[in-house]
Amino acid sequence: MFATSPSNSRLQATLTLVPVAFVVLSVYVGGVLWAAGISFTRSSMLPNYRFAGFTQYINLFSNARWHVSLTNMALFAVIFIPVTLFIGYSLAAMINRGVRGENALRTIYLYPFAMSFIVTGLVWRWLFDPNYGIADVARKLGFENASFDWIVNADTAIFTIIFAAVWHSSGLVMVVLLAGLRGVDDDLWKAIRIEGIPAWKAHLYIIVPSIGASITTALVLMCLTVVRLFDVVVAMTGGGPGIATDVPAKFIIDHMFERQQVGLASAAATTLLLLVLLVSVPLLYLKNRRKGAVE
Amino acid sequence: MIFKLLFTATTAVALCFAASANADEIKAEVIHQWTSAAESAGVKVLAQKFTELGGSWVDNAISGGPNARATAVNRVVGGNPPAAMLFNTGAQFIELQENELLRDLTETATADNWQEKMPQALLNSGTVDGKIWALPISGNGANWFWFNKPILDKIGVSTPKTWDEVFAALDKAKAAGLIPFAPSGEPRWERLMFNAVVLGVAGRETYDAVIYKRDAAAVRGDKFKAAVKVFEKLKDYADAGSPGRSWPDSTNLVISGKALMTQGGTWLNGAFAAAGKSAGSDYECAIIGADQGMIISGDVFLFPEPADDAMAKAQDLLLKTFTDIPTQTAFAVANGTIPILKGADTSKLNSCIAQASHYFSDAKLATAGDQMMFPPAVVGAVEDAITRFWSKGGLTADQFIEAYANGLSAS
Repeated sequence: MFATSPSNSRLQATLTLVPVAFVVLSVYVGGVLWAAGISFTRSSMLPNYRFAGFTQYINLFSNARWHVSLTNMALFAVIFIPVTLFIGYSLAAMINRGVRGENALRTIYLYPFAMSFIVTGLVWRWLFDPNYGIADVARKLGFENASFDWIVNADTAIFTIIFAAVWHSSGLVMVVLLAGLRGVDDDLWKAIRIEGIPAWKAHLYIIVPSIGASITTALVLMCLTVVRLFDVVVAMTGGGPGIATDVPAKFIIDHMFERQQVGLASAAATTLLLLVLLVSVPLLYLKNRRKGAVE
Repeated sequence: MIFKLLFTATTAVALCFAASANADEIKAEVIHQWTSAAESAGVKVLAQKFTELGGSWVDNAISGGPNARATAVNRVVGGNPPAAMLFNTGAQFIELQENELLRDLTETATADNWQEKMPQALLNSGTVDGKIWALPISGNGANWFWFNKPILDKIGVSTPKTWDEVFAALDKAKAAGLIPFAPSGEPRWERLMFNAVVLGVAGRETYDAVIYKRDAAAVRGDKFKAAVKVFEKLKDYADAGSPGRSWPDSTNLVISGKALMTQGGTWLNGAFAAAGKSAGSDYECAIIGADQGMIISGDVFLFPEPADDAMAKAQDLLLKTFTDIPTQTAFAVANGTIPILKGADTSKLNSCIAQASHYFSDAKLATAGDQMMFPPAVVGAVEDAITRFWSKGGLTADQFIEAYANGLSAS
């Protein structure tokens, strides 16, 4: 119906993207910039434009809860990412060998990811309950003094959250890495067998580097989970006991609504954005440099 | 082909007529957080009366006070306000009022003579510059402790009235293999519990200095420290599963005889009633250190500036429903809260609500809760301090006192 000369189809493609670009620029980028602007005001429940300089940032960094949130996010990243990567890779490597019932196994391992973080958090909260959860099952089985109260102890509660998150995301990482492994040339596997290289060495030094793209994808997805961590904390511990499992996203949401401190919450959100940029921009730069060097 | 087109067009137009047939129904959407069994029963009472008066109640129940309020505020700011929204008595509505997002209720208040009908304290907390912005719907006593009566009888103690008696009872319950104390583990209830201890132990004067004047010196004083010590001792009796536990779940432990004591406001009456338990035979209630008085809290309905005439009419009808004395009384009985309208029929109240009602109407025996007097930022800051102190492995008593004192100046 429409003429499809090359320049015409380019025009069509550009026109299709204009609304999306407009929405992204005005809503997303505009919203981020506006929030950063609000962080310099004295906004409480509703935004106002009473300039306050860096007051909100000073309040933010003298807030003990914010320190706990940042520490928890760092701890979460440092433990969650490597452990999930390891488990996901192990599952993918085992399935890749062509086991029977591969489809069934893949479905089973992917199932936790199909659950929302809220359901995951709730399920694990009940399982970890010191009175009625796994500890109670152990007691009923005869272990009289079994107790597992990590979730109610301020020092160890964050690890229960990490556990639930690892359980939730391992399936996804497995699927992503499996796709990468499937792309590895059969000849490579044959060569490894002929050379007699032990399996763990083969995986670590040969296979993993060759599926770099899949690993990067998995890493990006996990980093998103780390920064966005909110629902599993709300469902599992509500930020408790005390404030021990507080995370930046929960800090921001709590202060923006219930505490009626939009200015402080915006400062926290802007700080979180800066932290993410601090980590991601150098990585992007490195990646482009390497690409440039290869070309 | 033409026939099909005509048929479709006619059906579409006919459906439009059908939709507009209900246009003159008085619909009112109400956002609130009353989701527990007893609270829902209370909402039904209100909704029934509203329907009787000719309206159509659109219920929007959201679990959790902070969540319900956040939703309501977002709706108001976004330009699609509900007809009414539930807030707590106190400073939560101030910024909405300052931004001219609320409907001025002074006209209705004068016409309906609210000054005569409602307790002065509740009306005052919703008044700014002589104009009334919030309609009190319920009153509560916040500093009550609740006991399972059969367990009290089993361990051979009467209802404790002082902290020494409480700790003795808790020790006996622990020895009998029961959970001594099953508090709710959400930060806002821990804060409620702390306020109860402060009033009972530190005394009315210190409590009022902290709550009304935000006096940091009072926080650092000896009486407050004594209260902190009692709170610290109470911490050891809380059961292991309490962090994060909701108040209905904690109350259930007392209802089902697994725990001796819990802490909560008069709304727990509703939870007991919904489980078929009666005051005096199945459960007992007491304020520990009752001579210092009762902490009042309450709920109010706020009415956003109506979007159109239909909403204004719906709001008028809601106002009529909420200030109808028999309705409010029936609502309070179902909910387990204190009937606040003068002239309410108090014969059906159980012993616990009757006691609370008596404290409520006496200015010497009632004082405000922190949520009524502190702006939300301060409430949040002291709540953080309290929950950090209450949790295992948290702050020490001295660190907590400093954190609380600093929290009083949060903004």
